[in-house]
Amino acid sequence: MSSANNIIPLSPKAAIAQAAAPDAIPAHEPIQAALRGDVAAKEQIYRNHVRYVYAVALRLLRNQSDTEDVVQETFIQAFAELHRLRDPERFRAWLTQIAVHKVHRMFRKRRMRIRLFGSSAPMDAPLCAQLVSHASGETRAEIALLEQQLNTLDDTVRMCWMLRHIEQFSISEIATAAGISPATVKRKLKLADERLSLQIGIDSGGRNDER
Amino acid sequence: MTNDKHLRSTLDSSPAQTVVDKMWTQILLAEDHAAAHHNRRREKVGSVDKWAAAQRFAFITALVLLVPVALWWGIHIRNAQEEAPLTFQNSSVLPGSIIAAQPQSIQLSDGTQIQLQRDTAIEFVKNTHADVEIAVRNGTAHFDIPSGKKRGWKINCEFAMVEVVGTVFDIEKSAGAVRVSVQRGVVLIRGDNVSGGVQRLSAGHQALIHPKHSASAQSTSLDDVPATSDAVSIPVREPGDEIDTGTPILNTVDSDMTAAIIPTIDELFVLADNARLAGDSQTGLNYLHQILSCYPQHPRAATAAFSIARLYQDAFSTPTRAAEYFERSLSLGLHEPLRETATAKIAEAYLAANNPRYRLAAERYLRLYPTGQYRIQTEAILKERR
Repeated sequence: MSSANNIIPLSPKAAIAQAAAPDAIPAHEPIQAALRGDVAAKEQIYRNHVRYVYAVALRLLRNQSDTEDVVQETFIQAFAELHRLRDPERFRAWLTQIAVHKVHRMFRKRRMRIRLFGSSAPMDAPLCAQLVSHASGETRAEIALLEQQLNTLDDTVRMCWMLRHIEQFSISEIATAAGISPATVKRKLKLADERLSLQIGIDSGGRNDER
Repeated sequence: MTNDKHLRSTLDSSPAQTVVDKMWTQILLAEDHAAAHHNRRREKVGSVDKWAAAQRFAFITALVLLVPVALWWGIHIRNAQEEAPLTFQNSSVLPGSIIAAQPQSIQLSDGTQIQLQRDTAIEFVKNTHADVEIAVRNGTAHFDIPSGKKRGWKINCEFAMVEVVGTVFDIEKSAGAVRVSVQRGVVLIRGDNVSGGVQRLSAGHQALIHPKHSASAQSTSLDDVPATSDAVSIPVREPGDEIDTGTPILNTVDSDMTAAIIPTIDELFVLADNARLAGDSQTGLNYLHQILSCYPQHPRAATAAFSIARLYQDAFSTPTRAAEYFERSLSLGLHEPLRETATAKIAEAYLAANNPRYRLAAERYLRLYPTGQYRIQTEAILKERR
């Protein structure tokens, strides 16, 4: 995170390249070794994917503590269920689905906390705090406005919109990760787009009709 | 801000190295903890399984060993009890004979109970694991022999042998007759004086066996003969004896009996019931009419009239005559609960005879017995004809 001194940020180029090719890192050998119980192999897998998983979770949750919990749980579950992974080349997509599923559960936990205690964990990592260090003032203003409008959306609707427009998930990937039907995903995306285009002029350009 | 890629490129959400390291440590700890918990649980489950399996094995082994032993022991004890000769319940040996100076109750080792009236004499003629034979020399004895036993019982009454297996009955023996009354189960009466050589007597019936007259065993239903003091003994009267109530018009009533004997009202009832049981309703009717003729003032004449009415109603399907004799039984002072039955049956008989008096009879029943046992039927009679 660029706002903190102890964060080692990915360069924008590297981040875009990693996001565009999520399965680019060959995973056959470490996964086979991890299946045999090799801790070093597990660590290698972890370090290869943790930044991406963390970034996705943090953008959705906007809370560092919750994000760390989700990331840890994601990797624990992934290592425990590694034998279920059919295609090692799809490891990152599979891992991200686990993470998004846990984020979705975290949203439910937050709602429960609010109902029980009247408040939830503070949003200590808003999008505007996750901006690259060289972001222009105009970009910062736009992101702040976007976040303001995103805050008006329901958690699930916001998650669908962010997975679609920031993480570049397909409709079916969002549906699988969030545990809802593709039709529901489309409906939520349409709702979010209507709100955001009305407020700040963001246009999905018809991408929500894709599968 | 309309470009998604532009959006993504402006965000840098990757964690610091210390956070990455910290999370990895936490993951390793969690995995270790999960593995330890899993091992503990597996060990616990394994040990529980072994203990449960050992318990099951021990239980089944004990069952397999104990059940045959228990069965053998039970059979052995039962056979030992049944094969041994009967004793008193306290295991003391039975004497050859018992003469009861006072009423006496005897409990035997197989559960049999014998109650002897005063001056009753019995003798144990045979006592083995298979058969018991007791001779009733005199007096009245009540036998309650439990069912389900292999041992056969015979009661020798001098001129008749009573064979029983699990029953309750009374035997009353005097010099002139033996009366057998069965309260539960079935007995067989054998003897030269028994008609056909053998007679089967079921619960609720009694038989009279006379030594002087051949084939004179007569059975009747206990229900139909109200208990009176006369029922305790069966007198065999000689000509010239006085009669308690009324003077009999007929001196002889049964070809099986000698002309010298004048039938008592009890004997006429026995003869009538015996004929009815044998399916000879006409003969039964005749005996009942003889009771009315011979003993018109006797308190049991009303019962005879009631029985006549039932025969006319059920066996001869003559409802008018039935109604007439039901009315007569009432006028002779029929006792309850037969009185209620007769009152209800009058309405039923008049209805069957299409006699309009059925309505009055039904209304009389409902007035006298508003909560009687025939209320529903009687109300139905009234409704049916409306």
